[in-house]
Amino acid sequence: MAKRQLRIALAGNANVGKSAIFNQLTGLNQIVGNWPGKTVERAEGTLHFKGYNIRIIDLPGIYSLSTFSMEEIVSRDYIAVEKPDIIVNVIDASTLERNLYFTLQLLELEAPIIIDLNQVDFAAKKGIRIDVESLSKDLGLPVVPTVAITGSGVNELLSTVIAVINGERKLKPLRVGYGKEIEKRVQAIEKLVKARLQQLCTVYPARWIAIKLLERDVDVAGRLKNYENGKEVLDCAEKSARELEELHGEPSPVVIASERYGFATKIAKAVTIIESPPKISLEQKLDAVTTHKVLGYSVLAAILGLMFTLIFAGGNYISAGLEYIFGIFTAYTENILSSFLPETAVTLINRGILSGIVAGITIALPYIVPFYILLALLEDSGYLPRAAFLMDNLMHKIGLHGKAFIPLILGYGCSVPACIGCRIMETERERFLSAFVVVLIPCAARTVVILGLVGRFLGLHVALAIYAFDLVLVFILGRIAFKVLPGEPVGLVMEMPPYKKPSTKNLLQKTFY
Amino acid sequence: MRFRNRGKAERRNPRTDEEAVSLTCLYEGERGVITHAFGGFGLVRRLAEMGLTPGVEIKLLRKCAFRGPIEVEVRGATLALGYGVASKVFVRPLKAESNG
Repeated sequence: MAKRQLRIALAGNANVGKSAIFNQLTGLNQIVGNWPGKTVERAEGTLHFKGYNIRIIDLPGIYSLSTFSMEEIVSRDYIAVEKPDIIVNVIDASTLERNLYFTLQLLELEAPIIIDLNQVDFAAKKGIRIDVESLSKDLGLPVVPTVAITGSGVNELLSTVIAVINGERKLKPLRVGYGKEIEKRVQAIEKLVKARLQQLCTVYPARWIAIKLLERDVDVAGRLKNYENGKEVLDCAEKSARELEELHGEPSPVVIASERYGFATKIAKAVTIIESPPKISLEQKLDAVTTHKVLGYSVLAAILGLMFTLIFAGGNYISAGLEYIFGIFTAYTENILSSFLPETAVTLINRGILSGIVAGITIALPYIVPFYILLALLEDSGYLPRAAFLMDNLMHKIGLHGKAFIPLILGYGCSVPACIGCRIMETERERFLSAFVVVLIPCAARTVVILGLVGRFLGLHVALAIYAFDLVLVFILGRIAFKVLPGEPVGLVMEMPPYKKPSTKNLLQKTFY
Repeated sequence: MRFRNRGKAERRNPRTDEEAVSLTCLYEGERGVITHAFGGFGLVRRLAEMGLTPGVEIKLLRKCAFRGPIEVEVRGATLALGYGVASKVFVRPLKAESNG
């Protein structure tokens, strides 16, 4: 029997562990980190399971399927237009309600969904247990609990996917019903869409189009304009949206979001079992200190200060050690080589090639490796969003909000991923501004030059002065760019992920990748 | 530390005539129910999608100094909101309970 091809898309909120699941499934090394918005482009990988060739697509983490950001449009078009065979909706067991809001939107898209209830171990630690059976029954979808970091439950997840494909397991997706006032209007628009826009209905479900129109979705409305009868439908939707707004006194997307959340809350409440009252955990205490008004900044300064001292002092130490070892080695090779080669050739090999390699190793390696380990530690623990929280105020001075601090810190590692990381900013303007300042941050390679060479030959204070000068430069140029670029700055709305103990495997992987 | 004058930012919800204060006026640890959010269409919508919809209970976890961002707990998740964003969200403070 020929191998059958399958396409599975991983979708879900930011920072629920989609990339970790992806790595478990494919054995690939998609970078995992504890900050929302890390996966910016969709990653793909393949695996073989029970005679199937399965392509896995890791979609970026999003909170909704509206059109606030590019990621949302990309993900929603992927699901609706390219129609993957199965969508694995990864949800975080510890924040079920918010995650279900996204699930409900997927249901509205009428896609085949399997729920991956991830981070059940973390939820259990918080004293939350999810009744998997009844969640599955409420949603009409298979629910598989997993712990992505250890890989537990991943096999069951795959088996469930295959069972659904084979038709052994039937999906009876829940229909997301709204309150009477909304439902009436949705159905009216749906009918009109079905009658007037048959072509569009082959791509998107008619009910979904109707809901989106009622939500005043700019993207869907724009698409309708290309159709002959589009205007009639649009007018009808506009009228209904206005009626809703008058009735509720809120913009229609808010009204619909409220209802959807109400629905999600109802399901979440019914299946959540609080086993122990939430205690003040170590993580919470840590959180309290690191985001404290005064202490938080001291901790931030201490962490960054410590990081650079460690790299400089530690790097210097390792560098000197390596140099000593290699010194013996080169002296040894010089002796051997000169016994049978002319002097010029020995000098060429020894002074040119060997010393060059040795210098590369002794200067670059001791600084770069510890740097990446420390950076990975910061990233995985979940400290970066805290730093972003603390720096929000200062970042506003250069027209950005706190989130931009994350790529800025990453920029000390390598400018390229840092620039890509600027996609966590919401608007085009914000992304440009943050990428602009990120490239001004000295990356690890530049740090080697500054600390390794300038620091050694001119003294530490000169190297630190270069850093200080650079920061001033970043601030001034950022400020100028902020004033020059047109547009309004956007405020900070960011999820704070819980602190987690970073896994050693993950740390090493990130360091040497 | 609680010297901030609440009255200054106290406003009434123009639609329901409820007494509402800006989210930034809650004390740390205080709970409130969101009444409405002012601001552009995009912002209000984004807030709603992150779970900040009218009628939902919200708890202020932490404030940063110098009009810095605030941290709130809503629908089981922790969110950070910039001061500018938070000042556009209005809440009806709830009476402090012992289990808070």
